[in-house]
Amino acid sequence: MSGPVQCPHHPDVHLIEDHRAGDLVCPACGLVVGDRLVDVGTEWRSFSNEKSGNDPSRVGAPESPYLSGGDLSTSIAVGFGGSDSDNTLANAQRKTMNNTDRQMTTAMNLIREMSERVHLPRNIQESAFRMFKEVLDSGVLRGKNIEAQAAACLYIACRQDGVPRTFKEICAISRVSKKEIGRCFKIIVRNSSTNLEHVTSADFMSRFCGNLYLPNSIQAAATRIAKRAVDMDLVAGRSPISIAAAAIYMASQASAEKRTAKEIGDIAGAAEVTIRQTYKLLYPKAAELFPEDFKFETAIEGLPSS
Amino acid sequence: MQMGDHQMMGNQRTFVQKVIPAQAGGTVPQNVAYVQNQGVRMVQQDLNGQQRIMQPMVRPVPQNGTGPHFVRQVPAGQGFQANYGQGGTIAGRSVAGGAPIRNGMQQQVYQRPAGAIPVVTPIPQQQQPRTVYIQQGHQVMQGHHRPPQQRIFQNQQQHQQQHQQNFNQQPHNNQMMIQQQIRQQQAQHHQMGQPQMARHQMVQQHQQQIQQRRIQQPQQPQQQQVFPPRGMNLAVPLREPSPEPVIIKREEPENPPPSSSMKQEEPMPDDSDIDIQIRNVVCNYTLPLHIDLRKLAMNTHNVTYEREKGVMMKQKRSPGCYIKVYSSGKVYIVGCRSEEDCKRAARSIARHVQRVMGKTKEKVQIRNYRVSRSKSHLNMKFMFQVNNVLATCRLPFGIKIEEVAAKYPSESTYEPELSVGLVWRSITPKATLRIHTTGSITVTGASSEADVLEVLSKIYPIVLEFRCHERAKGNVAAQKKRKRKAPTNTRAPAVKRERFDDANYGNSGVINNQVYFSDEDEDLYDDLDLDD
Repeated sequence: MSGPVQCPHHPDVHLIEDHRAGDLVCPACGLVVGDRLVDVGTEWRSFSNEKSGNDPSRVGAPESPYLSGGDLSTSIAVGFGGSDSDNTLANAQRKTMNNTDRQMTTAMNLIREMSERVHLPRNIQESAFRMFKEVLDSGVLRGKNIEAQAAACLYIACRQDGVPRTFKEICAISRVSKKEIGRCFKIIVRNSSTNLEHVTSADFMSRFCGNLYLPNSIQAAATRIAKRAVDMDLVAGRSPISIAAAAIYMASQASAEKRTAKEIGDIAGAAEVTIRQTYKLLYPKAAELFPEDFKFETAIEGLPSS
Repeated sequence: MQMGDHQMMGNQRTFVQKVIPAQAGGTVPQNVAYVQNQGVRMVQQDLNGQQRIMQPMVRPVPQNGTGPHFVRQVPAGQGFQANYGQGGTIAGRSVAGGAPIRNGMQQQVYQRPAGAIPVVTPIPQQQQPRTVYIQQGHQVMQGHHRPPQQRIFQNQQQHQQQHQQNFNQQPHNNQMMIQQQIRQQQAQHHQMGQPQMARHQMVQQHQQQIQQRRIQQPQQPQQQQVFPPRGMNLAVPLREPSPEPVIIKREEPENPPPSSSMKQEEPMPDDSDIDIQIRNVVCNYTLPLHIDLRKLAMNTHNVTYEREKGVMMKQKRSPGCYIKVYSSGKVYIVGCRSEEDCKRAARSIARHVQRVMGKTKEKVQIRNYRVSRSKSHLNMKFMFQVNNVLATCRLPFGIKIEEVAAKYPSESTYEPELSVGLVWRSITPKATLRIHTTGSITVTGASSEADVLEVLSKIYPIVLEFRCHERAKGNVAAQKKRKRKAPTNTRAPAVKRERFDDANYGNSGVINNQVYFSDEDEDLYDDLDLDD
């Protein structure tokens, strides 16, 4: 071909690409100059919740830095009705796979699974992958249940990104006990140099209130109560979760949308008695804790004393 | 678990306690007293709240406390009583052997099960800080020995109950008395009540008390000076002593209060008392010898032998600990109250094994000292090492642990969801400290008592920075309703570190620096006008 394509009648005119037809068109006279342009866009789009059985992408997943060779290798997946030879193939491949890779893949699947349960965004998952890879390389968690490791990484990822989940929440989406996750978490933190922020009650307010279907005003009031309580040092030594739960209890009881301690306890993962106890600590100073512009449905005097 | 059973609560031994009001008049068998293990709670220590006068220092919890389940008050039990009597400690018993008996008082030990028994603490070999016992109404001093000083101490056992009513006064009295002595020599002592004594009240007999008092009187003047102990001086100011040291004996009331447990009251609202109590020492060693466990078990009392696991477990009465012996020759000792005790227990078990296995001809060498037999052929060396010393300490002020955690992120870990207290890991004396908002600190994993002292003295200025008002652990009313948590029976010395945090204190907590027993009955104290 000689040089760039140009319209024979209007050599200076800049040609326009028509993506739909794959043509190069001259805007001056409408002549189709070039034909059969190759589209470098995606072939089709696939959505995550589409129930299509097969993924038609012929390219495969994007390159992942967490796996040793990127993810450019091919793995044999055996479907449901796999015959014996298929299984042998898969086993053979599994055996020859690098141990680290295998662990990494398992962990990635676990993390992905757990995140899906609570709709965690992709960036948190990526954080968790990164954390896990670091842990795996350092080898400090060797021997611990891989699910616990994955859960701990996820916990740390949430916390690092400013949206901490409580241990109980992580425990609910995984299969390991809170103690185990706690242990792994402590080891990871000690090993890596990450400086994790301390958990505060405010971090959980929106989630808890949302799950309880409480309006924004109550959420704001509860946040204020909790913050003030901590400043006034009324609730020394109590877990931020309990403080948050008690604050929500107080705020909701003072408004039109009352919630029982039990309901709040279920959502927050705190025991009902704990909420009551913490509430008792807050109750004496109730008047000072509420924000100034709070609309009291039930006056402070009407608040339950327990 | 039967009443009075020994139970292992992690590294702590505790008794299943039965609250027997003494006024239950005759329902309590006379010959049985339920002994409170000193290990239970810090009550014991603070039972003699007065003790807190003393400068902080490491003190082994009274060795007495590691005694048997029952203290029989009939003559049959005097054997045990004797243990308590002498030296005030079971440890003291073996130690007291070497010391001259003063005033012939020691006889009393055998005559009177519950008598006030003077204690002669022996000399020099024990360079360990000894416990100083002060019980309400009586004073028992066991000081540190500096060779070659000796002292006579009075051991008040089982007097607790009588002095229930004199809470308010007694502590002061005792304190004054002690302080005077302190003043005299600038000694620092730990005064630890004898833990068992705490429960003895339950079965107090009136006559005994009277008799005791009589015995007490002559002994009072024998209070000796306390010698400077080896210990930590946190340089906290002492209280002013009151000028009346002798009041104590007159304070004894006629009627023992009916309470069955001690409620600790706040002795003094100042900063000068900080006591450190060693709760547990764990050690292990190896005998280079294959042990036939079955044979050993047959020849030893107080053992259980589990063939499946290949282990033999023995519970020693004096100094009172749990010993696990494996057939490979490894021996683990858990539950001793001091390093000294641990060594003694180790030695005694080694000797016993030696005897049983018929290797009496050999020299058993322990690292620091040897127990040798004549005609040595082979040397049985055993490497004795202390694995873990567990100690508790209660500071009289609250601590803002969130701020500590913020300021020292490298050594401290504070996860409110995971643990109540802040975990401080120190490297130089290798230890782990749990610091709570109430001001109580638990040290675990230390390798020796000296280490405990060192690490506490390091942490003290740090914590002092963040002191704050007393942080009560919830309100008292709520606490009184809590049930005591059943102690977990862990027998494996492999669990060398028990999470000795607030959860393990059961629900007798520390409220405003008072130690509170959850199974106390509120009514019992109504007349005493105690406020917490």
